[in-house]
Amino acid sequence: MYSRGMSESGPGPATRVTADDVERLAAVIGLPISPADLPSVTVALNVLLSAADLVTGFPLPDDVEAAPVFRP
Amino acid sequence: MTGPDAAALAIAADVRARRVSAREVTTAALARIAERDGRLRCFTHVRAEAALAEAMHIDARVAAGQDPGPLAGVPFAVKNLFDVEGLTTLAGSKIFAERPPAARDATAVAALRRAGAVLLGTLNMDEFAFGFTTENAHYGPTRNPHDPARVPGGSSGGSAAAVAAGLVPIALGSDTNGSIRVPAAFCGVFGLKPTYGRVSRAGAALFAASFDHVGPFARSVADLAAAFDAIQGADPADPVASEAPVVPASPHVGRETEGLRLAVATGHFARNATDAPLAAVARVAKALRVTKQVELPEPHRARAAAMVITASEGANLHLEDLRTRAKDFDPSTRDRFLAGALVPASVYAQAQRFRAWYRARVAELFRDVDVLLAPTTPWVAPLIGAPRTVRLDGADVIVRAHTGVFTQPLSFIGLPVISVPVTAPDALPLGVQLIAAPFREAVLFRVAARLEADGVVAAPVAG
Repeated sequence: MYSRGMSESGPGPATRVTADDVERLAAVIGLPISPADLPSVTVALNVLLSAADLVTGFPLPDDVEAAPVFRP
Repeated sequence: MTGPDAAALAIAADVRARRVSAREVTTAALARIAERDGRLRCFTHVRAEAALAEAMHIDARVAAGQDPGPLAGVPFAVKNLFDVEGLTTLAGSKIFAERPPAARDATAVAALRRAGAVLLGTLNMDEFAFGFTTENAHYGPTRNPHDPARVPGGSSGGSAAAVAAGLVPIALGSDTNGSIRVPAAFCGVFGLKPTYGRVSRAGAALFAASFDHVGPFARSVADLAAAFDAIQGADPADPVASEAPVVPASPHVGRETEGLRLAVATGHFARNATDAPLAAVARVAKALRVTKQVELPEPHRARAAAMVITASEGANLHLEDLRTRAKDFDPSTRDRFLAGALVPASVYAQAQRFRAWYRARVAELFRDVDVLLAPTTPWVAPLIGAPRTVRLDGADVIVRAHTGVFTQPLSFIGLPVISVPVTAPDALPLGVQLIAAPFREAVLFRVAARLEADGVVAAPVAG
């Protein structure tokens, strides 16, 4: 479903997931998306997946831990 | 001291000395709002009667020899995501309008009122703070006082525009990815995004909790410092509020800047923009005699990670409403919230881990630098209803996303930033970001005040 693409200048509107992909993904989490919204949601998800490539395309050492604020 | 250009501190001094009454100041501000806000649409609610009653209470305290506080009688207003006792907190949405009124003020609102400031009302914003334009489909677009055909920026657009137009000298906003700094730049006012956790967010509707900050707008550095000093500090009601000792900013306004190590951010921060914002940075750098340049590590990935975390956390916060009543969202946020719900968890987790890596690298950089300069936005305020994409450096970029290209890599790790207003002759305002290491707001105020004293930055009332 996800084809990888990397932008040097930043997240851009490359097309990787289709409206059908979005509909199936949304169904998995019980999120109905109206047909009228599907095209723009597809564009928005493609922008986020381009951003995701920049994030996951950068190797991090195993000992780098997220810094959530959780104080038991 | 009742005119649109009256400084907050000058108003407070006059009210405390009984040279003017808080009631007169409030009446004049309400008259300005009645005259100008029908067109500008900064306010979504004006609490005229309550404000006048509170102003008269301030006057009574002064008359009785009491001290009503350092902001005695100063009119202010807040983005409508802050709780105000007795008002429903809209967060720019139609959905929240169904909620009951807030039982108490947000911590920051209460702090300003304790300092003697008088709350005039609540201000327009992008729905749920997810935008850079304040073109709100439910409450109408706020207009930029410098050119009403243009957006004021967002998401705290009503806050910046109200200050720029001289409706109030101080306003509160919030900044997750640039939502204080972008409208401050587009409207030509000072805006402070404090260090993450320095100002309580309790009672402010969240958007993406990892990055949500509360901060002030003003037309002078001293007023900005006074507002910040009133609201900064620990708060057990906000889980991320810092218990670090408070450093008052006001004493640093006018203090020496010699010896400070200044640098201009290059690379990412010297590309991705039209010419004017880069010229504004050059102008500020020249005035401060800055020659050193530094390059932040991987800022484009920081921005990407900020986008992923923002969309994921924002979508999660509103997931039930997205499932059951997506049609009630503003069309300009709905698609991005829905998409945010579909981001894989591993990407979110990696983005949070990258944040820790990036924080460590940037901390190393600040060992040799006290204040870093960077543009606030890649362009001047766009026209209301501007096209979705624009050509930049030979590529199509999405206007609403790219507007945060210089602000997102900084709020991502909670650095304190003041956006100072730089306006070339016959041009629209722009902002330059002054950036410091965490909890070093004081040094930003020293540099901002130096620039203001030298006439390099200024925020005259617009219109």
